Amino acid sequence: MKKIIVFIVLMFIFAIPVSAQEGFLKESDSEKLTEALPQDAREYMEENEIGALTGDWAKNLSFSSVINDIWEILKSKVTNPFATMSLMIGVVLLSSSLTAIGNSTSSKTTEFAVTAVSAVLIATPIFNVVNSACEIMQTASVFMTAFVPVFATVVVANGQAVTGTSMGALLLGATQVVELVGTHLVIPLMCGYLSVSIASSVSPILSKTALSESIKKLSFWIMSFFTTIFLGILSIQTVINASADSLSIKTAKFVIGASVPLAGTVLAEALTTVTASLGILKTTVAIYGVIACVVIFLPLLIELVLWRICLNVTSIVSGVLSVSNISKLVKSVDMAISVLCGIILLSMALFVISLTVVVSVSKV
Amino acid sequence: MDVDFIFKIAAIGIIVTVLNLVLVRSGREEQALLTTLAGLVVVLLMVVNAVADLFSSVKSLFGL
Amino acid sequence: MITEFWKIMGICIIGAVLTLVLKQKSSEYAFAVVVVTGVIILFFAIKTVAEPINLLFEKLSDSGVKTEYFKIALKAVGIAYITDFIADASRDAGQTSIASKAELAGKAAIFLLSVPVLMSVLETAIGFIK
Repeated sequence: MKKIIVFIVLMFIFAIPVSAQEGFLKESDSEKLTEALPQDAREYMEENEIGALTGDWAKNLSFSSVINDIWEILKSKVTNPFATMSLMIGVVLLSSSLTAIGNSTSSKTTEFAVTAVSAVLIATPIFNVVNSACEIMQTASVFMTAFVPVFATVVVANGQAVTGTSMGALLLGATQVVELVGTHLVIPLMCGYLSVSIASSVSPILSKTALSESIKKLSFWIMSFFTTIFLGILSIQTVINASADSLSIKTAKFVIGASVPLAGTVLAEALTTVTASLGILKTTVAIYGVIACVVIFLPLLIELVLWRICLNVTSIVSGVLSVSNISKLVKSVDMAISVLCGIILLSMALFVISLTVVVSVSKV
Repeated sequence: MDVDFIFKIAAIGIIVTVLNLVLVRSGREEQALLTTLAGLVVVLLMVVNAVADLFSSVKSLFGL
Repeated sequence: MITEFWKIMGICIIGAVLTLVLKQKSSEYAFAVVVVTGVIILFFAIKTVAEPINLLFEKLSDSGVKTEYFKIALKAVGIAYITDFIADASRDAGQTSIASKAELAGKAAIFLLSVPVLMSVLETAIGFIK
């Protein structure tokens, strides 16, 4: 999972060499962009004096400052998951101490009670995380929608053909569709999955496998269907792929494909394109978009990754102590979180790719 | 709470049983019954105390 | 704790032998020995289990984590320990029906404890759907 962070850092590093191409963006447009940003992201951008108008801030953006910022976010997000993890491990220890004294009926009842407690312990913070993730996804889609027209004006101001912009608009539109499907179809489905697995953890009658597995499959199917369509549109424009450095990309591809479910394979395929894209993206506006995209999503992504680490540790502990009920519950919550991660990474990647397509088409 | 406690109970048990046997042999059956009962009461009191100790420690440790 | 473990093992053997001796002539005393041996062993077990967990619990509540539900789990486990002990003791005395009633009472108590937890499980599960 740390590889995901590396992936983000990679995006930053590739984004740094910016050659300023100012003068095409009106002040009012830039204000519109800033207003579309969510509150936190806007504050961050203003603090670091990152604006869409000039590219001066890019010179101040150093590797260590980026790492510092990531570290700050990490520190602010770490308490909640770790507190939940330690509580869960305490509950698991309790439960295992109980199964150790015998298989009598009262210990089974207690196991049930303990599982219910663990379900509450884990569900309440996860519920908040999912809620905030939904909010962030929505604000991000607002930002992206605001970004399209501004970006189009810049490209048109560059004096390019109409066909180019229309192709780019098609891709940006496709990104929007994928994102919409993610927020309004897949995330609700995952919420359903979560609620079914939490409810089934306390009910021995309700068999989880049939219902929740089909929900999971459905959401996977929907997401991969739409991303495949997107990649189909993308594959028409193989121009971008040319400048990718092969070996390091291949390892990163493998890591992402293995660690992110749902969007994993698609992301791995798109990674070549993303890195190549970031090399091509050298307009100030486009880089502003990429940075804004990262600033919006990064805190959430870090939080989710922290949650996944904690959930995995909990599931390992409960697996070792053979408390299967809690281990199953934790695993299914982890699954939902990882799908959330996948959707976020996917929408980031799609945004970057589609920006590049607009730029590269306009340069042909 | 120690191993002495078990020995105490067992000792009372053995003494009462022997007393019982002697009394029955000498033909005092009512007294035999009474000693058995008295021994049982003493042992039961000890057991109840031990169990109460266990309960109170469980109560404090598990926050009941 | 480890030296204590050897002591406990010894106590088990002593208890078993004394029970054998007493069983032939006066089985009530044998039962008393069994119960007391059980109490001593359970004392040891509960201390080893509950003390580290209590330590964790105190650390967590000091750092401001909500521990109300954790408390409920702790209580449920305590009840289960006691219920198991009592049920086993009555089974040793040959009263299986009393043993099963004790288990029933324990289950009821645990259920009573877990009702608020179940309610909030349901609430969060419904919250996800909304």
